Amino acid sequence: MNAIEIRSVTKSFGETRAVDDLTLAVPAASTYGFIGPNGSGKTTTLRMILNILLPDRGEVAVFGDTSTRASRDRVGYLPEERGLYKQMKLRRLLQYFGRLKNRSGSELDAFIERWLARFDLTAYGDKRIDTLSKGMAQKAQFIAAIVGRPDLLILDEPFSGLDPVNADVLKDAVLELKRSGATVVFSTHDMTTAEKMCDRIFMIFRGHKVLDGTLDEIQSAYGFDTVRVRANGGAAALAAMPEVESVNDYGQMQEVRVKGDPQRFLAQLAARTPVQYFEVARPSLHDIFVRIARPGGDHASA
Amino acid sequence: MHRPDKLLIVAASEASMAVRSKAFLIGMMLVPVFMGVSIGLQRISQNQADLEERPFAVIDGTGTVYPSIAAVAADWNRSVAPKDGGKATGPRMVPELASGDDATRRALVDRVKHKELKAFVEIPPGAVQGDPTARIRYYSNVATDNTLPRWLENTVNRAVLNERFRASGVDRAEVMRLTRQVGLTRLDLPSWDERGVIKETGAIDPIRTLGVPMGAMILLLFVVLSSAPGLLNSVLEEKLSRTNEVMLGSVSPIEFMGGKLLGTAGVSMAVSAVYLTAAFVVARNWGYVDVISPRLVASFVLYALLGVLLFGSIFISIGAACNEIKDTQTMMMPAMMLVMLPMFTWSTILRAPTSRFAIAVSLFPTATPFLMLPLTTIPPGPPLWQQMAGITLSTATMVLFVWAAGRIFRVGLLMQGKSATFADMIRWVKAG
Repeated sequence: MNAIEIRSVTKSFGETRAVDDLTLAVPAASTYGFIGPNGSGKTTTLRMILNILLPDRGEVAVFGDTSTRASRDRVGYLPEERGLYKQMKLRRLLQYFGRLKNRSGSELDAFIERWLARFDLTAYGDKRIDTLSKGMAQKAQFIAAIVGRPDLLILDEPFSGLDPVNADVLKDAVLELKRSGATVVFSTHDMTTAEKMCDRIFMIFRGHKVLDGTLDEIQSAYGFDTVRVRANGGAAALAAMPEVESVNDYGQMQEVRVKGDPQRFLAQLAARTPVQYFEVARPSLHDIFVRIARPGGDHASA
Repeated sequence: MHRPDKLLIVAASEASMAVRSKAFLIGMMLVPVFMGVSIGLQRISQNQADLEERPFAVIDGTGTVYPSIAAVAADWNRSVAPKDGGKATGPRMVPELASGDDATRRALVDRVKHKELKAFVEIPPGAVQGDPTARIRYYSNVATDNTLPRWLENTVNRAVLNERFRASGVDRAEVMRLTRQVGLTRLDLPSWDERGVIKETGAIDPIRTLGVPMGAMILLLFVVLSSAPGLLNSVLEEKLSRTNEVMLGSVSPIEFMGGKLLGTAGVSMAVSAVYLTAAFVVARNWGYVDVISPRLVASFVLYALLGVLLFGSIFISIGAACNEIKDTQTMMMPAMMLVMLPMFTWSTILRAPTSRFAIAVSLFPTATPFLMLPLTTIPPGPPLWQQMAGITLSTATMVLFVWAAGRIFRVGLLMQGKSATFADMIRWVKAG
């Protein structure tokens, strides 16, 4: 069964078409990564899933329910920017959001206390939200998103602004929810996180779906056209080589997209300069993202 | 389908957040505190008579009225002197006669400056002869003292009149009897018993006819203005903090807005209860407890609800349409004009409550709550048709405003960047 089904959905704002004829299915109990440059239609898609926005055409079904009002209580949402009432005290705020998701009583209280303890926030339960640090507020926001014990959790940039320790805490919490059967959809600009955590990845660009599949499927579609190389002279040594499509210079190493056979490129490079390291690889998600989204990229006409 | 339980949860939270804010507490306590302080100060000032002695000099240009002034001052001083071990009831008047030469005038000025005298007064020579240009000249460096000049004006005029009557040989008492005016007392219509015997009513009390209607209108304005504008800030803050997105992930826009309106209406009822209690205490203190009738309380609650929902929906729409505080200022102007309309017209309406103008303005939907309430407190009150028409028009407008606010709220709440214009808002309402 699919947790989300988006069928031929189009959404425009004035003259701007934010989402164009999008079709997507998110299987239940999967972790789905939504990627795409700023303004590509990610947030609009998420808002349509949440029934905050209605599509101009097509339909969105959450757990088979196209109105999604009935399924609202089954969905938790963490927005990209903090969506908390600053004047409220933390514990009271979580109880409020819990009641809005039809949770109440001792079960709700116990759930809140358990997660406050897990995130080291118990001592801050009676503090106002505006007294919490950014990391604490992000963790509080996460508890607010899951306080209704959602079957579908939508996280918009959940790890942005978090230090590595707190990012790990949040990552473990997301994985625990996934293991318990929840479907997790999150949008991110962090390609490494998407590669590591997501079962499937969906990329939207200028309102169109340009990628949808497992990381392996996506990378396979691009083939072994990438080499990682460390050679004397660095990026300068690669200049004007006919086999080079593009170079991503990391300083100590260069990631090169080659036009033809990587072995022929190696032979040409070795003839120019000593080569210390050479690896043929599939392009990373970051690399694929850049290829699509850069000016004049693979989907420039999208 | 909308969930009434979610609407109530939002309403309860909205009300709870509102009543916990410092601005609300200060605003709500202001009226009762102001009433309490005013009662206290009046009570204290009642017991604080002006007892400061008033020494003054008289330059008597007529050469005849000073003895009369001195005699009146002596009578006055006896009347205000402490009696039976009590306190004096007024200031002693201490006159002295002075000549009108320049040296004496300079000396009198110095004595006033050195506070030996409060003032000196010059009675012109033509005063007794009825010279129309003759005026009493009062010199002092204390411009705020009204007691001495008023006392002197009365006393000197009485003395001058006595001198005029004496000089003309006319009996003053007879003239006074012949020229005495007949006073007018304003009374309610008399009633009669079963036998047809007329029962006289008491004089009309200006506090009942003017003070109560004014007070009711001002309290209602306080109730509406202490709760409805908060919705604008609340909606704008939710937009800026993106809390609206989280909320809309849990409740529908109608539940969200309805909850906010309902919560604010609840807060306004709490404020009404506090204000009416304060009004009751004040009325009881001054012997007007009967004016806080069950009918007045019911009318107040009804019109407060109408006012809060009418203006609440306007303020919600403005909050949803704007993305910055400064943009709200421009949009607030027309809304505040609607609030101020009753303030601009109330005095005319209360003077002539049955005039066409009063009826027309009282039926203007946004003005009805603020004007119909005071009108109902002026006996015999507006006719039933006028009250029903006002309530019906106002309620229909309120429903229309809430419906339109719902449409503006749904679109505006998620709109970022440039604030909407009135044209945008109308387009959203039409588009649905």
